[in-house]
Amino acid sequence: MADVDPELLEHIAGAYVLGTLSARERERCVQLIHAHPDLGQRVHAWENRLLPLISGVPPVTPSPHVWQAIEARIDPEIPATPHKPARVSLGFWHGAVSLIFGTVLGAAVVVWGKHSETLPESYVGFLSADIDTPPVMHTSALRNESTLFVKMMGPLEVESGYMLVLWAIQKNVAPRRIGIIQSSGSSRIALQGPSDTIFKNIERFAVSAEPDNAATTSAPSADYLLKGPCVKLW
Amino acid sequence: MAITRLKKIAHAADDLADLLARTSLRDQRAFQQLYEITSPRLLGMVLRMVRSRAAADEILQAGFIIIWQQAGAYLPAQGQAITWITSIVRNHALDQLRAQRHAQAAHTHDDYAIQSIADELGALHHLLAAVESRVLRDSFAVLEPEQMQSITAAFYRGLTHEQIAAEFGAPLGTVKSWIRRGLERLRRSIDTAHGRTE
Repeated sequence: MADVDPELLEHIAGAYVLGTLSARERERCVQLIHAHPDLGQRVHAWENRLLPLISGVPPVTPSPHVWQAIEARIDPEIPATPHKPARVSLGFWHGAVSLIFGTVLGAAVVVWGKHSETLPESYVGFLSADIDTPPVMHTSALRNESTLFVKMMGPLEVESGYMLVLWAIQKNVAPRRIGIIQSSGSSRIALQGPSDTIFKNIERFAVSAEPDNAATTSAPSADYLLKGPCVKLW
Repeated sequence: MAITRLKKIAHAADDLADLLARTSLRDQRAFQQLYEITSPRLLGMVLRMVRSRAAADEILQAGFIIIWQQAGAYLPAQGQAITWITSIVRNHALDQLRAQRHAQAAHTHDDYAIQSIADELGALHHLLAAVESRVLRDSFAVLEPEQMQSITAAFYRGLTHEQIAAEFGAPLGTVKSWIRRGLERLRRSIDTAHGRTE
């Protein structure tokens, strides 16, 4: 693909997103997108340019039966995609306390709901102020994905001039800074690589309050406000 | 006022990304919220393409099944959640159109009967006028009339080069040239407005 004229790639990507390609051309283009990241990136760029055009289309409320049909198809009794049954691997977590283990699984059930019989393979963390208090924050990253989702289950008070920083902790290794998180609601951190690379040997997550002007600090400067195990769900 | 509006738009985008993330974790309530927020605009889009309510319902349903199955594949770095969702549904609609499953319906359906080309182009101008993005409005304004008409016909109605050529009564090569040059102008204009360069 390195030998292909960039202008031609641009043209193919634009035509694919605009929708002028024939069935055979579209099928071939999809194959090329999977095989050549450069074409895929150009397609994403065209989607970002053109798809906002639908904001000008008058909305039409779907009939209730459309959602009912979707709901029937995603029934947990009929898994949408084959997943291995959820299994918790805690072999890496030598300081295991059954209370925390129970809390993690219990919270996982609350978060994903009673219908979730098959959970996606993920790295999950539930953080609390100490071992005896319920979690106030959870993190999750799908296996091999590069995004970590963070949800505060209640607001965390942060002094003016400070920000919350999430750390990944591994035994006998300096804490690894993961990113800045919001003190309430949801936030999202773009990881510096696939979750399997970042979290493979991580035992715990922790949160500290760092001065606003220390955006690139590489080590926590104060005691952790929140801590909790990093659990592999698969 | 403008800042408040921008904040609302940004907040809505964050909400959709959050719902999509929860959907990837098989959160059915989040998925239903995502559907309720986005499906009306998506159905409007699909209806303009397939011109059959029954076919549009089928496509919307299948599109959201794909979204449920593939929500974990969404990467925020590649664009907004609504763009990803729209691409899933629109690509499915285009695939169905190209497979000509709904070709018969497109020519015979009475609820959404085909209007004249003039009416359609008029509607497209209204659509463009309704587009909230100043960048898009300004970018389309730099196109030649034939370029804009052929590009909007392809985008909103899902027509191929051949179909546009037939409707416009223009040679196929000419239509391809209009679209290719028009897209190139659009790309430069939108990327310049967003401060992006090759």
